[in-house]
Amino acid sequence: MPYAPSRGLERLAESLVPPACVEHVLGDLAESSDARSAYLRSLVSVVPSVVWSQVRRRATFGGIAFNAVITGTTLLIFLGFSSPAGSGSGLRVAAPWAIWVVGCALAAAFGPRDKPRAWNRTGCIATALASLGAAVIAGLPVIIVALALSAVGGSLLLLSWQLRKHAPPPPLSLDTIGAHARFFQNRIRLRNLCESIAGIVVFAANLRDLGHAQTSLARASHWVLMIGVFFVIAFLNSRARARQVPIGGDVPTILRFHRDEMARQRDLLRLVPWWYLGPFVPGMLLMIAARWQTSAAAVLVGLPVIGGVFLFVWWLNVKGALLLDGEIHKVNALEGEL
Amino acid sequence: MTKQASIGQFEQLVLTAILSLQDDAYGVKIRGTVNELAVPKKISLGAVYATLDRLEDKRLIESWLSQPTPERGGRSKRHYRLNAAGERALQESIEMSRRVFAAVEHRWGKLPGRGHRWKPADQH
Repeated sequence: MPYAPSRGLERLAESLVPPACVEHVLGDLAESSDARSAYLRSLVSVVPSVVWSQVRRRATFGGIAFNAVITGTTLLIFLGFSSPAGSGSGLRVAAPWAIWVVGCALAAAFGPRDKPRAWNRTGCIATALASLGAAVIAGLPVIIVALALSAVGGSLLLLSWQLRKHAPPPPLSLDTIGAHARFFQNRIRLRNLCESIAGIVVFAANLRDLGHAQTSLARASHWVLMIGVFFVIAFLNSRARARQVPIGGDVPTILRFHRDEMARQRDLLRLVPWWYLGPFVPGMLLMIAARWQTSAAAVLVGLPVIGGVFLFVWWLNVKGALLLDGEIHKVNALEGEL
Repeated sequence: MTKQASIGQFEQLVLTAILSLQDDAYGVKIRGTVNELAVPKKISLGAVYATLDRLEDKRLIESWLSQPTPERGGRSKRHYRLNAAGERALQESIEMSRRVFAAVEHRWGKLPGRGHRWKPADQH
């Protein structure tokens, strides 16, 4: 006779196992256990694996890394604005930052079963309150931390709303070409949104540092970098922006539209050194020249790192262009079926 | 040509368990078969769930929830089955294991049996 856990034990198990897998996991635990102790042992051994699995699936490593970078940078910028001396706030911000990043990942993992991209609301509120509590304990200005976390939370909500709009379409065919075209445009919209948010953060960081810059060369480097960021954001939202898929268009029209759009984005990816990396180069050179006067060693260490990052970004975009080339060939082959 | 997903040894065990269990492939049963295949290692249910999720993300298996059953406290079972990509990945992995086996036998001579031969559950 299989073991039937008490209502209290089942409630405890339901609160520890993410909703996406609670149904079959609790059923399996009941089926494989013959007593309360065995059920508890299995529950303790299963919970870390299923929670981690849902974190990986629903929050994703990329999402966690993005949240960590954007939250850390925003907190430092906001706190830098409030206390220009920056008296050790970098270290004290670690606790609210870590609680926010881990809490968001868990809120995503414990999101509702039927909505894969939705987060657990109670988890979100608890995360925000715990981060603010940690900020109070660390002696940080709680209003500033609340404003920074609100800005990050708003950005994450915007991104998650964009991601929720469309699931990946079924395999490419003449019947699904419309869904593929819409999916592609949504990906471009999402990319531009992410890049714009990152650009605003970089812009704000330079604006903050501009106020603390000691030399005219350092001030010039921040101005030129801000102009570069402004150019990139403007380019993304004009020349590289997503377009509307023709509504009510027939299959050949949508097919041509999708192919032309992929070719346009592919060509832009190939030109990334000019419109995405290039605008940062003058500002970076000025910054290097400014830093060279104070710390030549830091420049010698930093220069290869910056060069490596630029090359990596370029390589990623070349790879992206090659992938788009493959997709264009598939669409061309589909056109032959018409 | 689409890129073939590669699988590790534990994923190979889980795919084999799903294949052998056919229509009865769900968490507890899959863990039981994996334990038989992995003797003398003991595999936890949590490790099996994590691998099943990963295989599903790699689009090598498909899953669905069954109707709730009273013997599981009114809970449903999540059943799993291999899709075409999963079958291909398992075949490729088995081929690689055969090549490894042949290479080791070539160097060490015929490998001795360990006494644990797996049989389907209905032949035990």
